[in-house]
Amino acid sequence: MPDRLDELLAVMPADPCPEDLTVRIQARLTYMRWRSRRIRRVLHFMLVGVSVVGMWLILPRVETFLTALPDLSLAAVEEWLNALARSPGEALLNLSGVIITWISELASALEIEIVLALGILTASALYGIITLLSNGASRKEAMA
Amino acid sequence: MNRWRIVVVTLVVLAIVSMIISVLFFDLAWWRRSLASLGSARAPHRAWRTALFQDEGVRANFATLIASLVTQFLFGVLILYLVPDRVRNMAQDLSKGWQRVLKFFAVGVLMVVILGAVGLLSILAVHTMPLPFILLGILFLASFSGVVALAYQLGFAMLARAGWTSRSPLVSLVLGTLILFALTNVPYLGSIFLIMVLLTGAGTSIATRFGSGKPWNLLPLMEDVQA
Repeated sequence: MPDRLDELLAVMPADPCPEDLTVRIQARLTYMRWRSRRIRRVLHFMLVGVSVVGMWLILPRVETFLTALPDLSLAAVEEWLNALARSPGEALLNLSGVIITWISELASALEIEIVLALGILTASALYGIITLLSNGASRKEAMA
Repeated sequence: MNRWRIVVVTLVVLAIVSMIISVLFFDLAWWRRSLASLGSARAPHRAWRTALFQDEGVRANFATLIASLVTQFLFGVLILYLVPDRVRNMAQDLSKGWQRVLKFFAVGVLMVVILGAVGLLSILAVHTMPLPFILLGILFLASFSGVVALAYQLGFAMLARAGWTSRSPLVSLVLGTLILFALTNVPYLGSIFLIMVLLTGAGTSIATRFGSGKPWNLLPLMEDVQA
């Protein structure tokens, strides 16, 4: 019964090995590595550019987010704790109301450009993390 | 005496002296102040020279400092006992040089950007609304677990250089926690250092997948596809 090696042997060319085969393989490998490096560099450059655009869109609106934040002073916390001690149900109801109001204010401040910029920043940062960590991991595997 | 032993002893003394100076001159127990005085800057403790232990502010500062240090150390002990293998994996990764530590810091910064953006975007849909709070919890756990590994590795490396390797892992944790804690309590600069340490801790946890020791790739899923 012929095994896999026999099958491979049968499909191999009968011609003798070309003299420049090794050189051609090495040249091909070098070209492929050069191309993948170049693609990676272009991708890095694009993501850096896109991140800058994302930051440029986000930064002028940071103030909007900060003003949307609820007043978290110690006085407010103390007041809420007093209310909790007096009437727990009412205090929790008020807290949930404050949270929902804050979230809806924040959501209304999220314009299309900001949503787009946040998406871009997330994608760029995630790509950055994967690149940082995958490179280290693949090098570690290669060394093993 | 080994040169590193002198360095370790000097660092411990410096850490303690730095913490005492912070206690005497700065307001650590801010939570004891009346709500009315929160807006105004508080004068440092002027009476410490004459009546160090009578000054209520100084005593409150000492109590705050010791309680914070002990809490941080006990949290570290809990993590060491709960997941010793994972702490070892994180510590081993941290021991591979400053370049690796800087990489973990970068990962921490990027992770905060991702979690912040995802947290903001998640409020747009009702079913993802609790996500910001969950992400905040994950980031908190990741940061503190990483900081425990960082403190342990710092202490271990210093003790190993000094030739004190046969000690309990808890001694490494004590030394590392003491040094990091003293640095984070340096007035003004301490807050910046604290943020940097927390980001490095978060990066360490994320990069090592909470100390699982497995590389950051999708090979297990790809094996399933190839099978």
